[in-house]
Amino acid sequence: MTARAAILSRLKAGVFRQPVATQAAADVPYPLPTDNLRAQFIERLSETHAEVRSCDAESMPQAVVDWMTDIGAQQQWVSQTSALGQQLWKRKPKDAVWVDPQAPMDQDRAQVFHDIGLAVTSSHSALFETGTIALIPDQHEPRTMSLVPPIHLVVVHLSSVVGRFEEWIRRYPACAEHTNVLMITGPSKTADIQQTLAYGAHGPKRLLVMVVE
Amino acid sequence: MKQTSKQAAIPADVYVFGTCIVDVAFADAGMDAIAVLESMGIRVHYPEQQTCCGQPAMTSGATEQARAVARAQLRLFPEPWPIVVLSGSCTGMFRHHYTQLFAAPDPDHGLAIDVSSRAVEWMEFLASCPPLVSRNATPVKVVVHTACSAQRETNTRTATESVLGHWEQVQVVTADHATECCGFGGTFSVRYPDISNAMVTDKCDALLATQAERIVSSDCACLMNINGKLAKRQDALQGEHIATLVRDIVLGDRHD
Amino acid sequence: MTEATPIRILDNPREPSFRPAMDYLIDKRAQQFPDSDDFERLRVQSKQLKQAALSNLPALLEQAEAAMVANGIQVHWAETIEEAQATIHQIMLDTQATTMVKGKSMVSEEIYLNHHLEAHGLRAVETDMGEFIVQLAGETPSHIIMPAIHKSKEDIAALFQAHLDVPYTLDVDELIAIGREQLRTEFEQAGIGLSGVNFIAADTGTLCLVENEGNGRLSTTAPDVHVAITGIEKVVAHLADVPKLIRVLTRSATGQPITTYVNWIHGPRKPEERDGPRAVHLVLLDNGRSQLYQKERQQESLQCIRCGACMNHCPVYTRIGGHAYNTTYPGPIGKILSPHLTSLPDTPDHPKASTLCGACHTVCPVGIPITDLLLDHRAQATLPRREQWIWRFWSMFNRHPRVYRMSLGLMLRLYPLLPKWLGGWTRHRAAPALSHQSLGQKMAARPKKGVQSGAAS
Repeated sequence: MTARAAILSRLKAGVFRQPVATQAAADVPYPLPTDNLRAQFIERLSETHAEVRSCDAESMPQAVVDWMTDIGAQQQWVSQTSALGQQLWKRKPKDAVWVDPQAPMDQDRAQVFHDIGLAVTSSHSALFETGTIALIPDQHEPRTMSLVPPIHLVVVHLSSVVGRFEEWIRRYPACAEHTNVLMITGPSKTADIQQTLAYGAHGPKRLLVMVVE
Repeated sequence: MKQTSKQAAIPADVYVFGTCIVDVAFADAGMDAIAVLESMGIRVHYPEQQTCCGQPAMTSGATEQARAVARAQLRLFPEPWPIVVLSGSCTGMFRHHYTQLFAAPDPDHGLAIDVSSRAVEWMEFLASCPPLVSRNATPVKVVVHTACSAQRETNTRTATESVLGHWEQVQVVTADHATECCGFGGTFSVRYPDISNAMVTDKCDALLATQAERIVSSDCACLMNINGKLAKRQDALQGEHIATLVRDIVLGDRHD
Repeated sequence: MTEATPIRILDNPREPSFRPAMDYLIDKRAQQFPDSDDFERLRVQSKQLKQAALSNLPALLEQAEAAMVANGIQVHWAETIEEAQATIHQIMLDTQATTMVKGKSMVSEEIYLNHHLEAHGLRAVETDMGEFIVQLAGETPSHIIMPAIHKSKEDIAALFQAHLDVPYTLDVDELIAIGREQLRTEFEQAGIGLSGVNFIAADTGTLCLVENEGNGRLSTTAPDVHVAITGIEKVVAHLADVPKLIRVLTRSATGQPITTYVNWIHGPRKPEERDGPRAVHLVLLDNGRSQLYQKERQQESLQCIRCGACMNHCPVYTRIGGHAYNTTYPGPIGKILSPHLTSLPDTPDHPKASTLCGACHTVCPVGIPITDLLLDHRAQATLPRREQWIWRFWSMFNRHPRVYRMSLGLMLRLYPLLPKWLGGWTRHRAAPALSHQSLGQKMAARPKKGVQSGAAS
């Protein structure tokens, strides 16, 4: 008998006690704040140790480019094919070094791991409750972008903000069709050394969020 | 299982289950508890045949023996009176474990349900009665240790707060890590003496650090553990059954 | 395995204790559950979700497997730790990788994966900062969430200095930066990555991982091959259940409303995608879980979502730390789980090393009645002959009130004359002061006022 068959046959021979019925299982609704969502969402993001700027839709591409210039990283990853990337490339400052991430793990990884100072990505949506940003990486913005460079700049549209995770999954069940779905809350961190919080454990040390109204 | 906060009328009769540990090591405190009940005009019935609730055997895995001893207790309370238990974890045994120990189809299942529904810890019982009048205005600073099982299985903690809260002269202080276990755990203290010692040492340090004048508890197993440590270290204070404190407040100074 | 020496918990409190670390975790958790009614509601909800999943476990495993296979994930089943080791070893050989980068996985600890691979000339590199530290020190994790909680900053500084050829520094940011640089080199080169799994959603075949550092994401993104390993109990019915369970998992574990990363993996990279592993494997480990599943009472321990709150709140764990348990899973959950893992020799003392204080039970976010299960273990175990006699005698004594009263009276009278020696008890405590007269004797001696002596009336 295969391991699979043996395990399943033992499980099928057992009975797990049925869950106790209770009315308490229903979700408590979690409506978005009706007044000044922008300010409140920015506050939530800041609590996660993210750095936040905001702008309107029209000024967005330039505001992002300005922020990238302020950071001044030597090499920056900007997708040449994503909708956001294409808007940005049109405004690329002359002296800035921008690179399309290509297939990041199939090229010289040392360069990817050490030379790229910042990556810009768009986002799928966000969760208000926890200041979380949802990313669904694809061929235009591969998952390495939000992971390997020390700074991740992400653009979030206020209209995409959902109350919390439980509602998000109800609204986007099709997310399961994507290879990878990511929820990002603040920069990479660890408290593994004597419970002292340190940022930039393995992922980005800084998370920059451009909130677009 | 929580007692309601509204105060019921004082019953005319109650049973008292002293518990084996009060019987052996805290007999004076047991008399104090009974004296307080009698001062409320209650007729106290103390079944002479009582021994132990069975908890030590049950927690040690000797279920058969625990059941046999518990069964002997079940028949001691024929009248529908409350059964006032003088130690916290024993109340939990009556209330939560008797129904499991005598699960259907045990012939005593019904009796076990009845007994467990009437079991009430002494402080819980006081809290369910109208407030007691103080006859002793001497200010006193008190720290309370509540047994773990009493915290989970009875309402002793809030009952104690409510009863002691009635008396202005009683200042109740909270110890650091107040809800943490004292390290007794029955046979645990003998199987793992060093871990148990580390726990009771921290417990004693925390209780003494409050600078309280009296250490009180409704649970005598914890008290035996804590007092054993305090005595070994020759600390000045010893823990007392809370009934002794309450008796001093309600009945005034002792003249015996 | 029955021949092997039983594993015992050491009666060895550490000085200083783990109290500051545990207090930190306790406080952080408490801040996330300010309202006890709210916690109770969440606890009932999570317990229901896990119980519903477990009550349908075989079907959900089959459903999850079908969904994963459809997504391109290769699913392997392992009854024993040896099978799991061999499966992963073979995948590594097929990949022609010599180094494996590992995200945090307690199941990989349960199967002693690092040891197995190293014995076959392969490297396994722990990349979670805590696990990395523990591996450098040649140790195992002492906590399921905070593996290096037993190490001080000073220990780690010295460890890094000795093994990594870096200057001694007590600056935590610098220490983390050292670890980051060291491990980036590993991520650059690794051909295979391993991770644990927090939840598997049966309806979508999702592998769900939560983490803060990003090493879990790196281990499942950078190498060409990703191997996930988990226990068969981790499957839940719907992807929509996962956010509800994460809500209690991260709050209970580290006091975070959510971890930095929640990573859902649905398969290897698609042809058009530019990164991600080209192959994803999942190893489903049994190691006694399916036998545990058949046990009416103990099966509830399969609800565990590995948050670690029970150990954070355990006064025994706080005094001895995780290594004293001598099993992969320490603390209260380890005490009820370890006896069921078929890879382990007997652990007869595990259920006994508890005061039954119930602190674990109070905080368990999936409502595992840990104290009841400890009691059940004790009730099921065969007592040593000497203890059987003690309890038989005790029972006889307590079932016969006359014997009880007479011998009690005698004992109280003789007690002052006895040597004050009760083994472990009196090593640390004075012998109990007994009453001169029992409460029963005092009551019997009172002048009879008609109804005062209940049983006789």
